[in-house]
Amino acid sequence: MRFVMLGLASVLALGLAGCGDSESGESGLNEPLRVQGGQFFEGSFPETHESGPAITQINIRSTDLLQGNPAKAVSGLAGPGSQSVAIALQGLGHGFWVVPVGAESFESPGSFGWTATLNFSTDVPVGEQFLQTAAHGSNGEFGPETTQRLGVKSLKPSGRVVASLTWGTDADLDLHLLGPSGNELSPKHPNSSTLDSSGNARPGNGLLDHDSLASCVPDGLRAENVVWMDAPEAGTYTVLVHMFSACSKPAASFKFNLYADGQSVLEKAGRLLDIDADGGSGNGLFVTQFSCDEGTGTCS
Amino acid sequence: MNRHISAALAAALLAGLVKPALAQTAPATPPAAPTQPAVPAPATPSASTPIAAEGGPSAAPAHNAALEKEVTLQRADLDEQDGRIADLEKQLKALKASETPKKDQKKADSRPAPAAPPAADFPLKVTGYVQAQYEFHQDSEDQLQQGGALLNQNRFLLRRTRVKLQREWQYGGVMIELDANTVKGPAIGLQHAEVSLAYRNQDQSPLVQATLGLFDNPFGREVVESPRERPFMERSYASRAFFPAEPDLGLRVSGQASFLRYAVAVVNGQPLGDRTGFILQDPNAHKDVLGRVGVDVTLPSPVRIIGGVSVLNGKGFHPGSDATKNTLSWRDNVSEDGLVTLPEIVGVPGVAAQPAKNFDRWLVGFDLGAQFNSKLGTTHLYGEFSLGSNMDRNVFVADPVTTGVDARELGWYVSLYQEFKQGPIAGFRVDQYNPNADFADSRGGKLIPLTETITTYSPLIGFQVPHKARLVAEWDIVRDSLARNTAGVPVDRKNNIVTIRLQGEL
Repeated sequence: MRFVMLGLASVLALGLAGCGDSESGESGLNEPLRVQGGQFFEGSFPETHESGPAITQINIRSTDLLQGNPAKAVSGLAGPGSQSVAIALQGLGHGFWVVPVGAESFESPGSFGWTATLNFSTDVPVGEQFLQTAAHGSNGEFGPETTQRLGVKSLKPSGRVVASLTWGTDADLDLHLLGPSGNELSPKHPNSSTLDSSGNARPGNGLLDHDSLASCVPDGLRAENVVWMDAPEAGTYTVLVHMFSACSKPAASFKFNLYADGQSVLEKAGRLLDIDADGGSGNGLFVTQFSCDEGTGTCS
Repeated sequence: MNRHISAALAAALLAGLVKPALAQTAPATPPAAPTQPAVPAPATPSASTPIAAEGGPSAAPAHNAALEKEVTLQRADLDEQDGRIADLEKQLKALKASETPKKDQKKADSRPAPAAPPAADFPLKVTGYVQAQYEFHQDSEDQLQQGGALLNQNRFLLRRTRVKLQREWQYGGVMIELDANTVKGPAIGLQHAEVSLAYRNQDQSPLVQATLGLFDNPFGREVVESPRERPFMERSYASRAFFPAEPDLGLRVSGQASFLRYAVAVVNGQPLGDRTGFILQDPNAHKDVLGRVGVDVTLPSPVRIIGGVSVLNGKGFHPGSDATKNTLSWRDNVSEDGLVTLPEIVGVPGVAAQPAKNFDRWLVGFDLGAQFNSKLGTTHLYGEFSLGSNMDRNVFVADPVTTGVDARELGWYVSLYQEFKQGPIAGFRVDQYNPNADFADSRGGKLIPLTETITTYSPLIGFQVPHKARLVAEWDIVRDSLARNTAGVPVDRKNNIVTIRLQGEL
């Protein structure tokens, strides 16, 4: 009995030890901002104090970035006594990140350099955002907060009219458009209308931005867009979706959107199975048709 | 009177003994014979008394003659019965004598079988077990790691499903063991495949045995201990770092003489589960040589001592790289806006193939354990200590060719568990692993020595029916330095594990 009691007491003591000074190992993958090699802390940005060290310098090559930017380098200097730097996107996400400071600066003796590589989710809202930073001092307090403005641009291409296909798995889908002139737009023929005799695009031509997941190489986008910078060629367009290759996936669900002046005017969804993979030789799946007016350039 | 009663009892006893005896052996004599005289014998004197009472004194001479004749007949009858009793007693003695060796034989049958069957009768043994479990990991997330690995680890799992076929002969043996599990999705593979030549002791244990094939690395205690016997979920952290899985391909010479145990092996050095990319292959011609010398002593008191010293010496492999061609690359490191600008287009020159290199590695270990039997049941107390260089092949994989510094590794554990007689089991293990004694971290711009030591406390509790089933719950309290606090200082990461496992054996 004594042994049992001793054992239980030991387990209890160890349990308390196991619940001690531990931090979460959360990856922060669902956060709008991710810091490579940083430690994520859930909760609001730490309370700052004037007595703590200040962030004296922030270096960003460009304050403009696209949604989903994978590696934006940020560096700077933190004042004397700094141990680490907290980083967050103001008002977004569920917490903040911490990176330790590096070596003492030669240019500013007493200050410590810090660097961070930031990953931005594709969910970061378009527009003006602010990067918050604060240095943690040896007195245990965070110094004054410093903010840096960032301009987040949309991943979607901008144009007067945009026909967009997005899908959910790493299969090679292709957007095809049959234009009023009978020309078929595809990754191999990225123009919606025929070219003139000198090989130049005619007015009202739409252009395919890229071939996503070509040869089944993942690009993280799973999207193809046809962009008309001015009024599209008038007439009826037929939207077809081809599964060039299933890339070993059983199926791919997709969504087609037609945007006019940034507003969605048409939305259709569908699904292709791996048996629909045709290597580009089939007829593709009919999704919808839309028409564009002559003169006004409006499509619906 | 007494003689009659004795005769009747003897007859009844004999009848009782003879019947089952005849049922067990071929019938030698008909069973009816002894019963006939026993039943009427007591009736004879009682029948004569009323005759005497009915007769008068006038008829005395004739009556006396008749009585004398009757007495004579009865004496003759008694003499005959005495003869029969003597015969029956002889038969009884003979039967008892024949029963004794049978009982002795039964006793002999109930004794435990010898370690190995006699040479003429080595049967094929088929054994197996299943370990199914539920795991809860404190650091689990509903996300995928870059590359697609699952970050969720809260799951039901078939940890091991093993089937072993084994056949031994006087001068050798063959063993094949297959494993199926769902650790990284459903997988079935070879766990052991051994063929041996042996010269045996009198108790059929091998004095010298040479084994070729896929066998457990003979190092320390945990690596050669069957997961079926070990109550703890997995081997200690250090053991898993040094030996990602137990088996490797090679040649082993092992055996035992009295209390001495020895095993020496030459193996490829890329064991099952190796994370350097060459599982059960061998990228270099050098072989790892390892072995263990130890004792297994059962003292007169109910204490068993097991201990030994192990060493390993080998060469690791650092792969080079293939030749590459010149390529053009776009790096969005100037405008950082996702748009291509000319300064962001850079040429990446091709490079010639880089040669592979070998590096030295070694490991020494010491293990000691004791097993006590008491009123409570069986107590197991054991531990191991290992010291090595460049031996981590699983967790913090050692690569001294890249770092230019040999990694010095240290690991130990102490384990205690109690098997209670009624079936409960309780235990505790503490293990520690330091993958790099020369680790340093940047703090406040200065490099300071730091420890990467991982300590795991593993209490367990469960219930078992020996050799049939075992239900065990284990809590692994992992203390490491894999997270950072708000000051950027390495602290423990929340990655404790709770596992509940049910094991069943064929």
